[in-house]
Amino acid sequence: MKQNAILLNRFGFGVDFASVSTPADVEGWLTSHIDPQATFVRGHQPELTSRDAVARVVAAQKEGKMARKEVRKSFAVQSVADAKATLSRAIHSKTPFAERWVQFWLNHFTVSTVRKEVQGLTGAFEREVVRTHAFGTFSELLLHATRHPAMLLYLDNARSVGPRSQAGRKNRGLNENLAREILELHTVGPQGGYDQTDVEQFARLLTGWTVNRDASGAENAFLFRARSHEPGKKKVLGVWYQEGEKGGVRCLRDLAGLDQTAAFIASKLARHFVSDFPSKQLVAALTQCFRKTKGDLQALARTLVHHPDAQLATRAKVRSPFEWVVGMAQASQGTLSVDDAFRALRQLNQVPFNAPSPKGWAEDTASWIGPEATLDRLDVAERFGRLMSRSVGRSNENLSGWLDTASENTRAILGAVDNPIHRWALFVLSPEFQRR
Amino acid sequence: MHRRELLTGLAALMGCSVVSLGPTSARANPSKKKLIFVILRGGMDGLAAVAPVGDPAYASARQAMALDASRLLPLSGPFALHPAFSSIHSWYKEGTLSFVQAAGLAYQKRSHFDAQDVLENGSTRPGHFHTGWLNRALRDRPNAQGLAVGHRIPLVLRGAESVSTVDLLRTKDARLGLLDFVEELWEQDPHLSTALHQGLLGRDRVRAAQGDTDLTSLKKKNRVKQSLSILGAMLSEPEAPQVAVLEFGGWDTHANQGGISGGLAAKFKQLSEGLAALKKGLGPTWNDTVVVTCSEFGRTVASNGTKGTDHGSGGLVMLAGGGVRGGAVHGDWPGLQRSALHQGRDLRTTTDMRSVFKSVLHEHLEVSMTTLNTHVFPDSRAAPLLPRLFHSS
Repeated sequence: MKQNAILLNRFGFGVDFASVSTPADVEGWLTSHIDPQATFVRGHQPELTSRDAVARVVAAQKEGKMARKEVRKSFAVQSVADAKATLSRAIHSKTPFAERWVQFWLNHFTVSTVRKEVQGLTGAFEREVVRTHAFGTFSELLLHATRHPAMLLYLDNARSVGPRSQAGRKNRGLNENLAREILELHTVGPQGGYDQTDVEQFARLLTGWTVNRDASGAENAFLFRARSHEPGKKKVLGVWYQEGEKGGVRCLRDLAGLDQTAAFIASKLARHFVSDFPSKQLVAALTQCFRKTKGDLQALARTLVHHPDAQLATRAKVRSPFEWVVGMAQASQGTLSVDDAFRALRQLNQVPFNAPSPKGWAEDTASWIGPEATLDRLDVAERFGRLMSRSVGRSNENLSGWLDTASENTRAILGAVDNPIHRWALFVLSPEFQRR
Repeated sequence: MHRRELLTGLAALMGCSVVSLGPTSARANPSKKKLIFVILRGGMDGLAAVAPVGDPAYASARQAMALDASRLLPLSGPFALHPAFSSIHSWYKEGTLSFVQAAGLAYQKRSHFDAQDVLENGSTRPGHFHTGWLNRALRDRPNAQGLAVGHRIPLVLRGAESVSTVDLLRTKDARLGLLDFVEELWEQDPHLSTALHQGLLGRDRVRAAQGDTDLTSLKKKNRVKQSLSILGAMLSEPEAPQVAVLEFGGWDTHANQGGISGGLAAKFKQLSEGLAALKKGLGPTWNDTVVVTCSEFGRTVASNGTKGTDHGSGGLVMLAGGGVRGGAVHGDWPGLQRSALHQGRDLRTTTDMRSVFKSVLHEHLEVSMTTLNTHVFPDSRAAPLLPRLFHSS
């Protein structure tokens, strides 16, 4: 029983208090979420595609300053809507492992509205890149993430121009940001064996990869602009790539297939889902799987969930604010609204798509449980308690079921508290609720 | 009744503000010296802040990034200060501001995250220590407390010694009733309970230092100034932490960096005014303070294709406060001739930043050389002490 609670926290958002009973085979249930259909979402409102978002910007630029301002304002609003939408999906999903998987890859391929140009594109990035490809191959996911306007704008590649290209001038035009972050953050990792020359050559390879500003009938918002592309072949990590768009595509595919990439991704997965200090065996198993299946993400997810370490009854990690708040919302069975949950995430400094750097949100426990952050959790928990105490007719059956899996100390304290505000607050503050 | 509540109540009755509710056990001669460590994350363009306009290769090396010397504020030798720092320029002549140019790390790979890791862990390789050099230094100063400003503890302050965090602009309150239960709830979870206690301690101090300031209506850019002013007031109290760490982001100016005016200039102004506010808040404690401001690396000498600069090597360290021997730009200036650049693109590093850190810890905070060379910065023969940066205690 306690085992199930731990698995649900580790790979989902905790016990689903809305459901009548916990599935008997939790591991099997979580495995059933490893399905491209599970990540795909059908929105009820018309959604802003990246192509439409770009078209709006282009149209506004032609019209003038007022129009540009209007678009910026509407995209700022869209940003908030996108953040709330991703939160809402996590809260309402019946396939929580799929949601956790999506959030992992959204963080791995971070795009952030800290750069204003990314506003309006984050929901599109989530749907068009991560939700579509999260259970495909890593190679495909990487290619689509790299080509999406949100990424091209976030990491300055949209205006990177080859110094010797038609559009470039001597020693002007090249921007290394995307190339560097693909190597360091998305594929081989900082110890991946690349050097400055590789970064520069890769950057040259990616020149011309930009946003399609032609709004008429383009299939998507990506454009390879030959005028901006650096001529000549380029050598990245010992391999030569031909001039043109194909060179970049090939390089990305090769990077996705490198051993270092397999090891880097394996390590990140282990550290996110299981422990800040994962065992060598777990990382090795994930690395092996990645290599053997050539980056099959479904196989990788299955290997993760079935590994003995994933079954360990330790609660080494603390849930990030996102995971914790979603768990709280689910425990509230609808009383905590998406807006309330979003406000809580604001206070806890983890607004979706607002990560401070391309590295994304921190993974380790120490980063989330500082003294100040802990006090913030108390505030949030107390507000939650007030909210829950005001709602009428909440049954506590699921809560008492959950309590059976908690420690003696937690049970004793929750049992002794009269005030319902405190009872709900302490429930979500308990180590068993906060940890996974 | 909770002990904290009782003491607060008594203090209110007596009409005095609550100063500190930390442990009241006697301390053996707590030093008055303060060290404030400011990390500018992203790679601050040190050549824009302290421009070597007198270097013969300046214009040809910096190209579009070269600044008009007539708009800059004089320092010494070939160096001049970006005008955005006008609020602290007078400190240079007054002897409470100095710089180290071409300072950097032994690690040379230009990855933000790895370089910041090296900057904070105090070795030459990322991930080599999971603790920070400043936390390790605190072992030698058991009565000193470390304080991280913000919501998390940066690596430089992580380690065996416990430190607190503080949100300087916090206006909300956790109700005391809930607190009692939470302390019990987390009794068996050392991680959570330690964080809680440090948080509460920090909050008491901040409330004392905030005084009557109405924080909720502050504009965003004034918040930096206001929070530094509050930090200064906090640190000037008796029993306040001796060591504080602040971090500011947004220095990674890959595009549209600007020159005399523009994005980077605006950030320089905020930093400058922040330091001035800090000095004001500290009051007389400024005389016993050193503020060390640095970044994980500098930036490319020439501009890139998007009117900005890319990651570089040698950068700038700013030193301010009464404990500083001001009025100089230290370091061995390597020059901007192409042959003198690192890999033909960056300012070469000629001073290991650990030397600066070692010096402030030894001269200002009286940490022993043995501790510095074995525990705080092991294997740091390449980073010797620099004797002329600080006043000896």
